[in-house]
Amino acid sequence: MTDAIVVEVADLGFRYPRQRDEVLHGVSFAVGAAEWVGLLGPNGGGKTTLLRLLLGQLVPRTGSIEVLGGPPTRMRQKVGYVPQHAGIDSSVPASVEDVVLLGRLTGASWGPRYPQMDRDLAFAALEETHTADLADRAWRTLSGGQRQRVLIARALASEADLLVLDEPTTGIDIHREKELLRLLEHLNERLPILMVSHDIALVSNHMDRALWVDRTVREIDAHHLDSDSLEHFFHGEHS
Amino acid sequence: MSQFFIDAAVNPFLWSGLAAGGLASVSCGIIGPYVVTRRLLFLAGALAHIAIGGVGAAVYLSTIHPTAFGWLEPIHGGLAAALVSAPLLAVLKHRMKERLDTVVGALWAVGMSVGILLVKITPGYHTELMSYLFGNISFVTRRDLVFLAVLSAIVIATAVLFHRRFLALCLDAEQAELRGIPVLTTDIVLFLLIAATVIVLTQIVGLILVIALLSLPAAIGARLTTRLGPSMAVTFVVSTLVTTIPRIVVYGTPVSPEAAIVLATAGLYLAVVLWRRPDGS
Repeated sequence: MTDAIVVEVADLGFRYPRQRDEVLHGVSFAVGAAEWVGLLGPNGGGKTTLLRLLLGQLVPRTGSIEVLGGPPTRMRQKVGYVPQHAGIDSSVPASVEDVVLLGRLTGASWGPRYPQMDRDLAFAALEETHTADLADRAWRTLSGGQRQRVLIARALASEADLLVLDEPTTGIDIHREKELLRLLEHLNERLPILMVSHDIALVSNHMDRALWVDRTVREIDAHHLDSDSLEHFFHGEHS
Repeated sequence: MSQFFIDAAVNPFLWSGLAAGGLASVSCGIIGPYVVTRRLLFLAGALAHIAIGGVGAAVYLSTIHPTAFGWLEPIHGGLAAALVSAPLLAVLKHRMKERLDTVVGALWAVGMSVGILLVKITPGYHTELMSYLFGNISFVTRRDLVFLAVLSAIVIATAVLFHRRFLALCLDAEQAELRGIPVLTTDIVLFLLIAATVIVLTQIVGLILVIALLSLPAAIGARLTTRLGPSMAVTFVVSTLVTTIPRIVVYGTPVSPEAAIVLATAGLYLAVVLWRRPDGS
């Protein structure tokens, strides 16, 4: 683990087409290679937009973004993204292995079957997330907690150098949440993590730093975060 | 039922009808699950109805300009119209987040109207449109079979090459895009294959009923399996059964074989839904 920078955002501005106001303005921050950083903020504050910019799905209007030393569009295959809600239709006949193998897909993937090396990497990712026993199960039969673990396995199968998670604990019970956080702590020993969350206790107990995203980004000391300090941010009393 | 086999000894059309059903089942087995899991049934229906415009154009051109277009069969016009409109529909699906159904519905109706109009203004009496609307499994010629075989071979080869990409789009298009798959281009290829399959199935049940054969066997496959590959195998088996058995059973009766195929497929789907829930229980 080094202190290298894995995400560097400088004076970023973005607005959607046909909208007058910027969703994000003057955003600057950096994430180190050993960090677990939380993204907090009000609904509509720009957290999801920021994630989409980091993944190269949107292009900044002003400023610059570097992810893993390059532009997001070029580096996004090295970013393991875990969405809040899996965009996987439950009616699709797909096994857990099918879902995890998506992490091995590349622009050079042709033909009907994944090579054995890809299957081995997918299985290793399932083992690391303690879901190897689910490999042959139908995706539609999994619980919310199991799905989140499998989606993390999919991100790991891509041999990601950075994990980006969007509210991974939403909709899962406290027991599964603890398991998931233990897993993320374990993964943070070798991977930087950037994670959107609304859970103050989670951010305070597990993360090194937090960023408050509300049109712009401000640093928060995660270890001293409580509902009172967050209330100040909600009311804009953060200067 | 035995009358079918007695007559088949002297009537090669009965065998060619079954062979067409078999060929259609292969395309249906491969493309149907993609259509159902990617929820493209409405767009596939639009392709089928836009193809009627091409059928009308082929009938018109081959009658008005027999020297230049005498070789043109109605199915060629249908295929051309479906293949031209497939990329357009794929682009509309990606670009229009709202009112897609309105625009696609309009294209659906316009394609069909153009077909009816062109057949109407074509001199003479033409039954082609009716056979393409309602199918004509009883009179599949050797030339039709060769055409269906070539289309099916193209569909199979392309689907094998693109399977992992199609599966990725069916599962999670956003993730596929993040992994470097050009989603729009891949969808255009898929839509072209759907267009070709629609034309193959037209020969069996007609454009109006094509949606049933494209969706119900695949929906049965999805109910009975947990992976797309086995789902395709089940879809192929179901398609083969429903394009064969009802055809033989209703032979010699007033019941239309095309309608019997669709009703048998729907009945089988209902039975599977009642027998097996989506979670496999």
